[in-house]
Amino acid sequence: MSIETEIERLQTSKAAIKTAIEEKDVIVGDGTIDTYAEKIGEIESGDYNQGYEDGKNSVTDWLYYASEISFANVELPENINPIFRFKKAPHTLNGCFNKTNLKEIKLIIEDNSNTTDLSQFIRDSTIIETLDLTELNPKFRGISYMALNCTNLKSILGALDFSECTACTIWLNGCGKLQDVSFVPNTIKISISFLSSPLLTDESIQSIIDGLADLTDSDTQTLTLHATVGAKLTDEQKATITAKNWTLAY
Amino acid sequence: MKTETIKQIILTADEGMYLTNGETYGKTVVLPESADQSAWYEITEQEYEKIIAEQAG
Repeated sequence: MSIETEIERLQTSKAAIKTAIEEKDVIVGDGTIDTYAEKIGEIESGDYNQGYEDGKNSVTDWLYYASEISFANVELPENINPIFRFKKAPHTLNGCFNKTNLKEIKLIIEDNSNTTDLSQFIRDSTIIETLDLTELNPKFRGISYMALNCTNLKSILGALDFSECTACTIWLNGCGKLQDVSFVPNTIKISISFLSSPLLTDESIQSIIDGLADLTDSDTQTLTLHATVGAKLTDEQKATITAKNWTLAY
Repeated sequence: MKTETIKQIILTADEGMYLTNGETYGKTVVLPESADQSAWYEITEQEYEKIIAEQAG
């Protein structure tokens, strides 16, 4: 081959490399071939390119900005403890992990300027043991059926703020192994039930009582406890409950 | 020293029965003095178990 032919081949290759780089959204411009290694290094990894919002380039970006998402009935890899992080509060996470096969879920929502809905969030998930809500910053509007039939659920981590919650229908029914749950004091304003949970710790029981808002000037609401838990309450605890204008059933 | 007298109404279900207000259930119900106790009535254990099973869906 002649030198001229070799130069022509190199120029063709250079143009092809430039085109390939620019197809990965990196501008090469008129730089010499000496800059190409640096340009290749600027190419972002990840194959996902159809984000929930334009311009997002990976599955994690998509989750980060999502307003509604569901992993219901999705078989996720076993023996992992995933963290699901959202930047903004999704409008609803209703049924997000319905029937999940995960043992532990940590949900992080960074922004607290909006509320979200956790209805049916982990409903019918019989494997899950721990729901970590310690970094759930926004308040939730609804939590009905959230953990219905989660027969192995032992711990809900993070103090739940019920101040914006208007519905919690049978949210923990079927949770016979639940031990740990806690609340932001004086935030529960609607009837709430722990009917299925005989194993609540003393700390959890006291947190529930402390979580009840004072309804002295409002309609009476009902706190329902499992018979075993109700029988453990002291007269002082019962008096505290009724003094806040709550009815206790067990 | 602060002294408070808190009056309560305590309802206890008969043998084989549960108390309900149509929304929740218990063998014992402790109400604040001002609450409407007429909202509570008895159902049988069989009725209670049927309702709970239906809720579990």
